[in-house]
Amino acid sequence: MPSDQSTDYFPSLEPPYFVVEVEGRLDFIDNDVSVRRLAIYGDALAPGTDGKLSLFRVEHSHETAQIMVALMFNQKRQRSRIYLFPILPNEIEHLSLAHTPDNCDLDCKWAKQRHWDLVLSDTERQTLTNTLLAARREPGNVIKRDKPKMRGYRAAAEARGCMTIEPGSQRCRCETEGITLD
Amino acid sequence: MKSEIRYSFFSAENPAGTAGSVRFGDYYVPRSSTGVNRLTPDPVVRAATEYRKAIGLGKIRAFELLKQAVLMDAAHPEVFFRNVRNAAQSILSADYRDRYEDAVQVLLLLTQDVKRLADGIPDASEEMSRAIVRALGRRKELSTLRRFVSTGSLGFREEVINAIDEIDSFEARELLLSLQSDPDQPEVIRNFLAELAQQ
Repeated sequence: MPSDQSTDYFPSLEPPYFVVEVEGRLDFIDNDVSVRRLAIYGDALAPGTDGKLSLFRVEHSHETAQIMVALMFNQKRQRSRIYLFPILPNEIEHLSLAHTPDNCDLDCKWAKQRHWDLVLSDTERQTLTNTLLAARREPGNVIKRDKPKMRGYRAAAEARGCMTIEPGSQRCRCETEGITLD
Repeated sequence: MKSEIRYSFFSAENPAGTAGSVRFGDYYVPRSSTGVNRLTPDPVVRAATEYRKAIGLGKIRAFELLKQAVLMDAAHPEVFFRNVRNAAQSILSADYRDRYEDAVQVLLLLTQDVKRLADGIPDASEEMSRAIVRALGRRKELSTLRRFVSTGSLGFREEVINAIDEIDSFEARELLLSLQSDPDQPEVIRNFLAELAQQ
């Protein structure tokens, strides 16, 4: 990925980390009440319909942009905005975490390779919530599909023949040159 | 709690039906010949649950069943909108990731009159309020959204601002600019508006 497309979505965090999609950002600072934060972290850790929490592993900070493209322009979802919430590997690596590229319905093959599933029991979810609470972790800024910044990410992905933008594309560089953005 | 006798489309030969059952909130208590009452979910809640669980093409079929359940005894508009809200609330109450998007889709597909749902925002749950606001944004109901820019929690206001931002009209941009320079708005809201403007 060209350097001008890099993103400091989580400037205070050093990769690698996992990201999960969440619904909002101001919720996390609403009244700054710990009880409310607990409820919202619980929300951030809500599983999908299959009972698993979908995570994407980010090895370099500039990769976050491609994960946003893969999530936001996916034909099956068409989100108009996105927030990502970071979780550090040491916070979850002792849990039931599995690398699951095949359990991801995104079109982007690169993003699929970064997909992990996390299964949490109620106790584990509560423990992780407390860990995030202690770290005062917050999601990154809202990124919107129709804004110039995101259009830049989209254009870069399109130039690489990204299958999220062109489903069935025969010129996906991830396919022809391996799963890499560099 | 107010109860009501409901008449069912199930026949008397079908003991699993809700004929002659008594309704308590979202549940029926069937009158059983054995004297044992079983709690049976409201048809709208039951259909909404099936819609939530459905995937792929099954979602289309599940939506048709949900629509039938919502319309089943909705001759009066109040009943219809109550059923629509119940369907969305039932989806929102479930603990899964796409519940907001599913609830917004249900609201948008079941009714053209999203503005009427907005009248219930002051009494609705936070999640329901946010789903209605998102639906208002999709329908570009700027004048209705304007009523809520300075109400509710920060998370709710964030939802309202996002909905206005997605309308992307001259009036919507003017409104966001005026909010950004409004000293009465909380600092975190003004920062959020500035962040949106920078993108």
